[in-house]
Amino acid sequence: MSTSITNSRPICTYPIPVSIQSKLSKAGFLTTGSVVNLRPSELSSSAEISLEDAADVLDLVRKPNGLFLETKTALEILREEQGNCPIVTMSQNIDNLLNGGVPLSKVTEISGIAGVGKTQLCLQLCVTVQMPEECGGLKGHAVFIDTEGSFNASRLQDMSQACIKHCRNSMNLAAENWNFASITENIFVFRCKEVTELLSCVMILKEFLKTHDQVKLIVIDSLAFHFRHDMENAALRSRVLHKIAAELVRIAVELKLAVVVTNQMTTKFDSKGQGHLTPALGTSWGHAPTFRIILDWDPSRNFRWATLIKSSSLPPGSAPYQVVQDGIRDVCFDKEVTPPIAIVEDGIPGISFSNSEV
Amino acid sequence: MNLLSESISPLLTSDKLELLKAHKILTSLDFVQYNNDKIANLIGQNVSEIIKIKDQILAANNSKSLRADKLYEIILKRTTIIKSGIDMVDKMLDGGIPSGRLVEVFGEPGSGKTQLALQLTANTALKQQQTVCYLTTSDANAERILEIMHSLQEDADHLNGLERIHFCYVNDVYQLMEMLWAPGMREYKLVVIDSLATLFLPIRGDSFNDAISLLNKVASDLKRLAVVHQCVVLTVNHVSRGPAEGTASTPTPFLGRYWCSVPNLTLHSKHLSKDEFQLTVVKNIYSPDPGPKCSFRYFFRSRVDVKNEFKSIYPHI
Repeated sequence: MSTSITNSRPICTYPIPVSIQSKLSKAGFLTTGSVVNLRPSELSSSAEISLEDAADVLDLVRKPNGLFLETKTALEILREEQGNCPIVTMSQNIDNLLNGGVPLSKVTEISGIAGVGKTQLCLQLCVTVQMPEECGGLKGHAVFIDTEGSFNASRLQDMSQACIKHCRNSMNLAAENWNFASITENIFVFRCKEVTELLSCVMILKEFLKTHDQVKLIVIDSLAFHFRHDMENAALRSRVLHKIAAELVRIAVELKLAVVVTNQMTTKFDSKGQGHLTPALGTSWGHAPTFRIILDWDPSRNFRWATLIKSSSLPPGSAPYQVVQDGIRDVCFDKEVTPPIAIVEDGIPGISFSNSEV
Repeated sequence: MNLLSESISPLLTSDKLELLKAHKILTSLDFVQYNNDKIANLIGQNVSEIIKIKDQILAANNSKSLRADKLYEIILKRTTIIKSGIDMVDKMLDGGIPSGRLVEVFGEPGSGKTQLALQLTANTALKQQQTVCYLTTSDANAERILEIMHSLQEDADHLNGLERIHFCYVNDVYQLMEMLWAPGMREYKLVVIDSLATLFLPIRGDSFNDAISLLNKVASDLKRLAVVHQCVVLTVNHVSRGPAEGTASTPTPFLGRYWCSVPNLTLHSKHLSKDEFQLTVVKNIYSPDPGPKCSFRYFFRSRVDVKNEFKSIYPHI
């Protein structure tokens, strides 16, 4: 019974190149059932395609349905997810916003205006992912893909020393276990100077990760830079962007690591002609990350806010934080502050501070 | 649509088949369309024999007609109504979505499409105890489904419900088609594709005709799945960029004008404010009322409670 269904499956639903498909259909081979019992030589002579092509087609058609066997029940996924420890950001507020920290197996996007601290947050994550398990870390390595030249080793030094001191004070760890040298050894920096380098870097990441299986965090800072400067052809830009997005999602899910992507801000005009600040790279890119955070200054310019504008499982909210020499830390208030809220104005996502009504 | 062979009729011996092949008559479709006299001359048979063979082919490939009352009985037996568990939404949909329909929900990023899909999945698996297949392009949110199940019914067998939901990651259109043609798909009463638009994003613009033909195949396969296996197929779609045809309140869905006519029921999802979401029925071929909408809230627990509470209820997970 099952074979009759697969036998009536049209050949055109297989990923076969168009030229070979047209030759097959001219020769009358329209369904799986008509080719599945043939030998490559027979298929090759009837359809006038080369022997290698015929062999490829038959391999494709005869492959057992591997994808179906890979389905997992929700219970199995829940069990796996419970074992996944998120990456802390050293700010309790932001960690609470994300229900523990930056999650594994998902793509998180961080957007913000220039200078608000996206790279700072990324560097902080590169340090905290390496924290030993006793301190709540993952003891994992990090990959930093730098497109803007913003990777700053001295800042990394400040943050690492502060983090080591924090762990040593709270957990009484010995000095040899974890020090600045080991932190810098376990962060792999890739510098991409143009779009093609970025694309190839993302595509070969899987091979790289096979030999470096302790990597638990991949940071791309920033994804938007090359796309906004280099590419004029909008259709090509959209395709390359989505190819990268699909590959990042695949890596995150299969290898169970966190992918963090930073994005810039752009201005979009709504139907009334009012300009709104919104994450760049377009609306269709907005569907790719699972979590989207916008960083912005508080109107008083004393501290900053991280607002969750899109998530698949958490309610929206905002977290205040500050950037100090030690890195990202919480900020304490002596009076009431109103957090910004995530709004969507005419399809343009963004945040608004309700006390800044103009 | 088979190749001509001896199994169709004993008169079609192999040398006659070779003759027909030389004249490009390869499949039964070609045979049926070709002129009777010409075939008769070609393979040296009477015209009446040729007509008999043609009738045999047509009878073998014909779809059988069914009396409407028998059809109604079959539908009564096999139909399940998929509900969301949110009263307002179910009321708007006249009780739920009966099986055999292709449903689409579209909206901006963050407008609640995945939430609706998860809500329908959780309710179907828990309350109606049917199996669900969730084909996802981004992530599988088992924790959120458990949360929704808790909000639907506090003391039910949630773990058993979770086992009825099968997740599968699809990365491109061909993987989706592989799944749609898998024989195991017949058991599911709800199939969710989240999201269909993401699968087509890398293709469109490339070779436009190829993209449209792929969409055509996917659309017909989805409909076949819904009708033949009597399940509900829910597809999640994005919103297209330019407000060319849509109004400010209802933007145009992605995937083009051709796709607009494919689903039986089209819903537009919108995020109104902090907690509130709005669903509008944009197209429903089974209902006379245009555009009913309803606003509601998805249930979200406070963050700090969620992880701790789950760990205390399910320590063995």
